[in-house]
Amino acid sequence: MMRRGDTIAAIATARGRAALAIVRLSGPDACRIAAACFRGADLQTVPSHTAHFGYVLSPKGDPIDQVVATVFRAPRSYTGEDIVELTCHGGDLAPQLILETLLHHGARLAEPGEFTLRAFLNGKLDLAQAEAVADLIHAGSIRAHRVSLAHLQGRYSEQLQRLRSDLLELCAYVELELDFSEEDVEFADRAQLEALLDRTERLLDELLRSYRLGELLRDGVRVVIGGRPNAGKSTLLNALLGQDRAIVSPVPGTTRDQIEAEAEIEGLRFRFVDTAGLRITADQIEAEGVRRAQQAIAAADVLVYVFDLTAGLDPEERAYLQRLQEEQPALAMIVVGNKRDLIEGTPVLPELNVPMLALSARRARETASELQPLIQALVTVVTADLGNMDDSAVVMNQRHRQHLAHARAAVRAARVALAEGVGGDLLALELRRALHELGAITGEITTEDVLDQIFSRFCIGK
Amino acid sequence: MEFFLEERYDVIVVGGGHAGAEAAAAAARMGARTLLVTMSLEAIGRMSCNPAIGGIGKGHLVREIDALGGIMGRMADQTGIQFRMLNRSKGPAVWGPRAQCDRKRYAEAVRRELESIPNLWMRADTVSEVLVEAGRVRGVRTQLGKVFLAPCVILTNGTFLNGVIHVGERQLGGGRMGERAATGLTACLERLGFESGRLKTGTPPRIDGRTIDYRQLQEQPGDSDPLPFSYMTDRLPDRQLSCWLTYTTPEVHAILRTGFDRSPMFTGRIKGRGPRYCPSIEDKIERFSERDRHPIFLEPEGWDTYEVYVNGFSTSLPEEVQVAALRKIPGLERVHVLRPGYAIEYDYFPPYQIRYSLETKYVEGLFFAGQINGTTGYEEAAAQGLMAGINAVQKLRGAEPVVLRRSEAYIGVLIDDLVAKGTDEPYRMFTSRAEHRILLRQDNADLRLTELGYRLGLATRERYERMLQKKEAIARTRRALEETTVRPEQVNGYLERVGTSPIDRPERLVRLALRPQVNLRELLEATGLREQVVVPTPGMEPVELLVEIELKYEGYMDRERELVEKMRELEDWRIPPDFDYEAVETISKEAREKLSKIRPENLGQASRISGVRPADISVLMVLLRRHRRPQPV
Repeated sequence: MMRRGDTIAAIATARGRAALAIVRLSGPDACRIAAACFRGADLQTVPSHTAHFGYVLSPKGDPIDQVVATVFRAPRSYTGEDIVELTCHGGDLAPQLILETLLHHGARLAEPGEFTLRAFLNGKLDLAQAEAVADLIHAGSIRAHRVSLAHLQGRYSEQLQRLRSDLLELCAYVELELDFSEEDVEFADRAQLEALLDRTERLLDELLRSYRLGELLRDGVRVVIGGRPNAGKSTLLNALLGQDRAIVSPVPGTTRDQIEAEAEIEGLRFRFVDTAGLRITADQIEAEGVRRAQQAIAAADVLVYVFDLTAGLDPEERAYLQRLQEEQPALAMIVVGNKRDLIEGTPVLPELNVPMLALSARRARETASELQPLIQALVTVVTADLGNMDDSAVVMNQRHRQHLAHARAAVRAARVALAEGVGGDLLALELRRALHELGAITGEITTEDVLDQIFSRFCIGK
Repeated sequence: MEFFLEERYDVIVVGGGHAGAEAAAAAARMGARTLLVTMSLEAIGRMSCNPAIGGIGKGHLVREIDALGGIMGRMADQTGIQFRMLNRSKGPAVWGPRAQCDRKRYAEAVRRELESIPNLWMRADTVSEVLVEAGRVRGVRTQLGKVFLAPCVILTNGTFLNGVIHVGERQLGGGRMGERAATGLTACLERLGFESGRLKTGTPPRIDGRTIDYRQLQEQPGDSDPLPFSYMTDRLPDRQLSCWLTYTTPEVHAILRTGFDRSPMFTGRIKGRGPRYCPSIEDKIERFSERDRHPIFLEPEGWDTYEVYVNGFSTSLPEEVQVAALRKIPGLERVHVLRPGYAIEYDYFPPYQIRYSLETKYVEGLFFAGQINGTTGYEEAAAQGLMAGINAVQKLRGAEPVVLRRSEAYIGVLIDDLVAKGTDEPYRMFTSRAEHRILLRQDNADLRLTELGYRLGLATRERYERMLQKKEAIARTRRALEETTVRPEQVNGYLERVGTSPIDRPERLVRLALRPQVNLRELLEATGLREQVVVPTPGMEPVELLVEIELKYEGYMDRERELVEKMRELEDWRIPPDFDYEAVETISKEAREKLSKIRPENLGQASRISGVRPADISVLMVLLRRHRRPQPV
């Protein structure tokens, strides 16, 4: 039994070289354990939400490190329990020694995610919020971070509440007709129900579409840079990665072996895919090259196709791009005419129904603004079909997406049922299914909720 | 204790209303020597309010009671004066059988029924004390000083516990107009540790039918092809009486308002909470002031009386205001009032104090059923009475209590709602309370429950065999539909008439029956195949109707059954009876309190308790998982 939960400890910051690190303790004995190895103020008696300078002593009594101890008392803390955060010097050694000292004094090493689990169990976070924490930890870009933060603050939950009240209203109308048909009340007509169903479905659609954005935010946008050899792909890629604002990191691992590098641009994470071996000619390339190129492109969100302005886009390339457009309509495409610096006058761009621009990748290394149109184009194509999505309503979580998708399927089935004129009991069945799915995210929606709606809106009682 | 006057029984039922009658009948039929103690033998089976049985949701309860072997359905069939299947234009899951009954004959029929049961004894008296020893019920003591002993006592006191009747500024003690209240029992139960609450309900005036001008009213006749409640009923009364519809007017509302300052509701003299779905006329005017009329249904009280029930006009305003307002209603200009409407307040015991068997948690062998648990309605009371009677005998037998699941019966929904959610207003059944509504139809209550009733020794062998015959007839009729084909010329006329596409080659009947526009009975009549296809079965429900419902709902029912299975996982997480919720600091305080109070038997029940959030259930699941796992040494 979790009678009085034990006290857990862990290093809360990432390993590796850093100026500072935080070791966190949570549980009923957090203050006692911290006080046992802290030289400075008495952490057992200091007020909540105060920070204290001092030293952490090893079990033998030797100082390990200079630290700032911050005390949060239950329930006004992240986990809802007493928390002590020891901010020490970074690196691998100090935090590790401090952690071992805390374990020595009776703390238990926290399991992954246990702080959040406790916050959830103590009602500090609802399920959607708890899941947002996990997403926040994994968020790879500023924008993803912002979305997770919005979830954490409950704005996404608000959006779900709106959906919930819409669905409840719909159910109330349908149930009214079933349980109170003998009453002298106005029943919703079909047009009214249809309008309500429409609104609900639109809300669900919007949330579901936002999942795509959520996915892009979480996993990054996969961009393949393609083109013939010597078109300037590598120069362009380096220029993109060389941006001051970009965080560049090599991505190791076998599953991502196609990815050359990641960069954050305009708050979005981009994953650029190496297609250096990709030679695009209509028919005379090696099978392996074709296969790899196809794979890379099939998995891509965006293809940036680079050609040499001095040579122009030849008919084979044009035919290839057109075919690709037909075969992969979801793939966003940007055609870049490179080596703008080597031609005179206005560059001649081919006629293709995709965003098109001319630049000089080489010049971009000195002049950052040279890439601006391409960056704009990238951000635009990524967010274009997502519309003007409010960050707060982005679905980031696979489980939520599934429940929302099921809810939408139920709402659609309700629409079909309504159109076919089937009995209200079956219509209600679909709506309840939708409520049930939504309840899996927001918490159970009971029949009492539906009856409350009815009684508050209609004059019932013969 | 002085037990020189004692008499011994197996089961004592206190109260002779709809709960008490079912409880006593069930216990006695299941073989228990049963005593029914009621203040007045003449009041057994009395309808205190509207002269009708059934309705939407309530009709389901009546059919389930009947399917298990209870009495209400047969009583209503015998004494009905008008039969209607409500919601017929809606899906069959929400059809609601309802009968207007002859008030006097209904009560007589119940009394006669109880008198016909050999093991059942009656006594006119008022129980003033429940005798308890070491947490176990011993029997009851009456106002006349008599002591009756039994290991099981079922309390079905209705609105009688400290009942107070309000008409305008007048108040009088009473359990029904003209009947004494039961005093002393509440205090006795409180001494035993029970918490009581106060509820309120109301009833409209009764008027003299000879003073109604029917020419101004809209007639509401019964169904031309009436269907019974009971699966045992083979014919219904030949004749039916109509109800009549009229409306209030703004003038009526204005007159009623003149009495608001003397209304016990608005002056705060009534403290108990009333049902939201059965508001008084003054409530309706006040809360929905934008409406300039409310419907009034005039319902005859019986074959040989001119008394008429004014449904929709429940009120506790001063009598002179009631009369003045009634006389402004079209058709009632010259009306003579036999009895004014009134409100009644009474004690109930919030149902967190009972188990799923309806046995109380604090006193072993003591059961509560009916309005004492916070419900309203004859059908809700009868359903609980029946289950309390069954479970009292199960207890005597040392057998497991019978607890119906929410996916099995409306009765299961009713009791689960009461025990798990509690209620602070009089609880009434609605079909929307049953999440598995599509499975719990009024047409299949016997298929769901009769076997159980038979196994318990409650449903008769005849009833059980009728159910088997019906099942067989449905299966065989269905097979015949699948095997029989029709030619285009046999059926196209009908298909075109109902607006569905004709066929161009022979087609199996079942394919046509599945079309939404097609009515199976009409299809069979149009093709002349009824005789050949439909296997006859006892009872009044046409088999083709049952088959049609089955065919058209099959897909939905299958899906629903899957859902039931999924939900069942939570039901399978049993919570140890001594589980210490107070020690679980990780769930909300509200949830902790509610769970400690209600003590659900499994996680499914816990999840339905109001105030218990999904997060709390997750915590319990984690803890129970730990609980199950052997502790490391």
